[in-house]
Amino acid sequence: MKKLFVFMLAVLMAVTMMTGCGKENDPKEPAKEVLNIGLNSNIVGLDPLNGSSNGARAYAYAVFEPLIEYDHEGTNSKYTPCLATEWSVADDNMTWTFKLREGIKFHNGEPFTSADVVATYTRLLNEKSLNVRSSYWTYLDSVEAVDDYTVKIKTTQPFATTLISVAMTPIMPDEAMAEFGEDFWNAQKLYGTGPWKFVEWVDGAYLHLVKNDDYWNKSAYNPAVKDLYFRFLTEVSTAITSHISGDLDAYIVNGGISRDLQSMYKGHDEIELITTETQNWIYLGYHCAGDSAFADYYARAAVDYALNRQLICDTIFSGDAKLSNGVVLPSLDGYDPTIPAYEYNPEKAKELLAKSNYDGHEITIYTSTSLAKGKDQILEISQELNAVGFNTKAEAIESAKLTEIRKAGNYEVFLMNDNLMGADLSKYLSMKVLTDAHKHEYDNPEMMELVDKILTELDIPKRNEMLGQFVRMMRETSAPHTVLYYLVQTEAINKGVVGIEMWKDTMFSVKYIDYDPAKAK
Amino acid sequence: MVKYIFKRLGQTVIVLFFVSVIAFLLIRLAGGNPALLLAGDGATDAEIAEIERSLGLDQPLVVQYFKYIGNILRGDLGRSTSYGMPVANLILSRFPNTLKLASVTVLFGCILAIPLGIIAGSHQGTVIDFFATLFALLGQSMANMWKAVVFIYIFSVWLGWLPSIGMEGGIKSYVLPVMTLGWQMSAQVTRISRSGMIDTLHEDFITATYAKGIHPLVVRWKYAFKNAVCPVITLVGMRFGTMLAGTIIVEAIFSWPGLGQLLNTAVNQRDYALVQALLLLSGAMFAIINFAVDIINSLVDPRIKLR
Amino acid sequence: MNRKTLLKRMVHNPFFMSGIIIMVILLLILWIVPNLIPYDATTNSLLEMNKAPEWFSRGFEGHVLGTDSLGRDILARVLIGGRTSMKIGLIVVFIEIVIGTTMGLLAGYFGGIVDTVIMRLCDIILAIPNLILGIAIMAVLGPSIINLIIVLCFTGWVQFCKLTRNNVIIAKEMEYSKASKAIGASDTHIMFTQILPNVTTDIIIIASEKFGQAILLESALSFLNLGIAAPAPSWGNMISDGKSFLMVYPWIAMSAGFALMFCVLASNFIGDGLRDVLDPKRY
Repeated sequence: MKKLFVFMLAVLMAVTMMTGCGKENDPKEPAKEVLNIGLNSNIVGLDPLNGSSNGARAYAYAVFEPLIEYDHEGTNSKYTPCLATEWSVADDNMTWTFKLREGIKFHNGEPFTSADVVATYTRLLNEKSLNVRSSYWTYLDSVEAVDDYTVKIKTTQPFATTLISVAMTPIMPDEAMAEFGEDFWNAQKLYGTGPWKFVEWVDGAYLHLVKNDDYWNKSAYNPAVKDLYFRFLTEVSTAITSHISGDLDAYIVNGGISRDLQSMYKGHDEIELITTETQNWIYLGYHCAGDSAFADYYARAAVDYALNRQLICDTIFSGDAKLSNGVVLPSLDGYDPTIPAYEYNPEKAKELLAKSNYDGHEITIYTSTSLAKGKDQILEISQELNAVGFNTKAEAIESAKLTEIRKAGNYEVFLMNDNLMGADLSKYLSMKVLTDAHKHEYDNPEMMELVDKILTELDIPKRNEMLGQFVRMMRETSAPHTVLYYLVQTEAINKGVVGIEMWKDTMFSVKYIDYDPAKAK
Repeated sequence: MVKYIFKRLGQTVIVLFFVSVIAFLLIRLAGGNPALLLAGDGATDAEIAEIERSLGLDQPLVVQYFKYIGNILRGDLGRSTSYGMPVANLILSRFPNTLKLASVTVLFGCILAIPLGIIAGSHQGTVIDFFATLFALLGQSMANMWKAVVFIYIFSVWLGWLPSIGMEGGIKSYVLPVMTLGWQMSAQVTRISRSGMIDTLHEDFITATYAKGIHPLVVRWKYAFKNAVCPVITLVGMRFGTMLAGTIIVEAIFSWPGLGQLLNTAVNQRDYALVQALLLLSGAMFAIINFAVDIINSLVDPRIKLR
Repeated sequence: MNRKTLLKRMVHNPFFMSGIIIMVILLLILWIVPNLIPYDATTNSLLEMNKAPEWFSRGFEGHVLGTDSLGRDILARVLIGGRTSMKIGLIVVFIEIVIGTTMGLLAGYFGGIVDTVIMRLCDIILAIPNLILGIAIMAVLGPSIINLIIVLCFTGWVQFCKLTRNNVIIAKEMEYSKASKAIGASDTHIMFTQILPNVTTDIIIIASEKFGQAILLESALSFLNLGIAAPAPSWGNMISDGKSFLMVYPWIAMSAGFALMFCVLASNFIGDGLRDVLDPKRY
């Protein structure tokens, strides 16, 4: 028996030593050469063209660079040269020519030329499931190198926001890609041109970047910070306790830190709460065909009047949600303030519902369990709808299941969010209205024609006018979506940490992050 | 002995075969199409069909299953669809974290619970016994999820003593997850060793040892415990096996990068290869540990015959 | 052991008695108090959300334990949720006993191939994490209380099965069953009249603990959104919903957490007490 205890003691010591050795390379030193940024979701997969979360995109745009950069202001955006120095579009509005910057090297020493751009865009043409392709390049036609430092990119039709798509496409090195294949990210050999070099990704724990001392644009950006860590801390309230105790320099939560939990930062003046009015909106999507109760206009219109949107904004979101008169949010180009706000009028809702041919069958309101406060919202919406005569129940399901039933059109109504990546409605219009990815099966040729025109119109004022028209049409028909509210997002960043950009389209950037001790005071 | 090992090996293979079938079917029955999740909302039916083809999901289930088993026998666990990398890499990077947490928990549980059980069992009906039993029953009566957040509230927020997340803080970051998991485990171990002790202390040979004039402490801690230890070993083994499969809730609350969180992601993303590999791993762990428990028990107590 | 000594032992066992007392008080509260509360457990009133407990400053008219994120009265939810949890616990244990003992009797009595098949089945079930089984079963069958019960029973019967089997094997070797066989009693007759009564003590003990474990497992499933579906309350989904706000609105998770703890504790007390009471060696 003695032997057993000695053995146990030995194992305990071994484990203690095993766990203790994490201490030596502890990155949290007092000098701010190391910054720790907490994220509430794990980065899953490292392919820079396939980042499926905002964290994955933030890493990709710090290590890799696109041809041009922009400020995420939608069609109002200012574009700045990055890997390309100048660009132009031909008269057909479909052929774009980019002049590339010379003398840039990838982190592995490979020179940057047009071959890299061609290789990257060829991947987008070939691999249809890549996130960057499905989000931005459904209209990509071809890419071609004119010479070593000139490329031509063609779209299949005029596309209003091509430059946004270019700015969202990080360029990868062609030789390394050819040499490593999938090992480019599997073996973590990620060489970009950006100011941050990739060091290591430990699944579920952290991603480590280190300053690129040979960055081509060093004269403009040369940070004092040497090491940058993304740390994956999924449970928000425990992560905040860790942030407060000084283990993090910023905590960025997808969808923002809810107002309830913001109060945990009270009394910690070294941390600043940064608020952004996002373009992340919550909507109800109807199935508008077949046996669905919402195939009937009056039933949809009744929902519009039955919901007390302001109450939900004030209570469930504690003010971190705001009303919009339609899908073109106030912060978007094309917003028309003359369109009246939604009205809460249960009596009118009852009247409208009486006119509909809704037979009183039980309607399930779906949402995804991954949507923040989704369950609370549908429970309240269900109660408000039942108060005017609907018979509804609320059901929060896994997002994999929701995706499946949406694809099959096997629902009557669901509540989800939509956020604009790129601060423009193009992706929403093409995917969720025109090609009807969620099978709303809303039959309205006039609306589809209008959407098609918006997507291909390059004249901004004209486009904006049509966007206003589109919102009016959506309001009149209450289909296929009804917008409930959009969210205000709050993130916690320590004073002194500069250069984390929080954009309205909910994306964020750490490419130009730095630490300024003067601002920490 | 050799015959025994072969017999056990045979049984293990059968169990693993069924686990592989169940794992394969379960995740497919759960609905949600991985090709759809990969393709994204905007994909056309043709694009989804293309991805299904590339993943081999368009083939009949039987064909899919035998391909998967064939690959596993060749040592290829497949490719994770959600991560876009080999499953083996992912499991290898996370398994040590789970192993560390499980080992520390088991050690903590045993070091605390076995002496407690012995003392309680040999002083049945006393105050010590009462408190040992109370401690054990309390540990078994709280939801892990609740215990975890309450511990964080007390020790991280209120007292500020311990880190609440991750495993970067060295030994300190082990304290709360180990307490959460270990209390429940030590509760069971205390109870089993207590009742084992009570049973053995009533047996004739113990009375005989007393009669020989051996010190009561030696009788209890050596002779009696040796006879009571087998169920304890079995229980500890079972618990260790379960923990090695990853503990979804505790890992999620403490942001512990272990297999449980990986499994959770894999299920949510309908990452077939990853789910299958993780379930098979958990089955294998279970079988290995069962086997080890039997061997250890037969070594500790010669009355137990390996059959 | 006659009835009188048994009763005496029960009364003198502190764990058994406190378990019974806690359980009785809990049951009384769960079935009487909801009638006194003017609030419904599933009706939202957003303007009242996240209110701190008012205790008894306004009697049952106020929110005694505060309100949750949709303004629902927590006391009402804890009590109604408790009823559901209790019912589920009882049903689950009952089904587990029926399946487990039947399988155990079959395996132990017939031995051979029957035994091997049943024991391997137990191994297979134990080798798969029960949360995964839960996810898959709930996904296939859809979320409902009946399906939840199926999930909870799925793994729970194994312990009863193994226990019965081992006891049957021992009992079979004993004189009385051999004697019965010799005078020509049928297998079923021997199983139910002679062997089963010998294992009931152990089954009662384990059942009282399993009751608590079923309630705990429901709360674990709630963490993965697989427990009792909203808006119906259960202790599990209340803890799960409230845990993110423990730092700011601790009363949500605390109320349900303590209720669950007392209930499971009582069931464990009873089980542990019974073990001592029914075992002749312990006195």
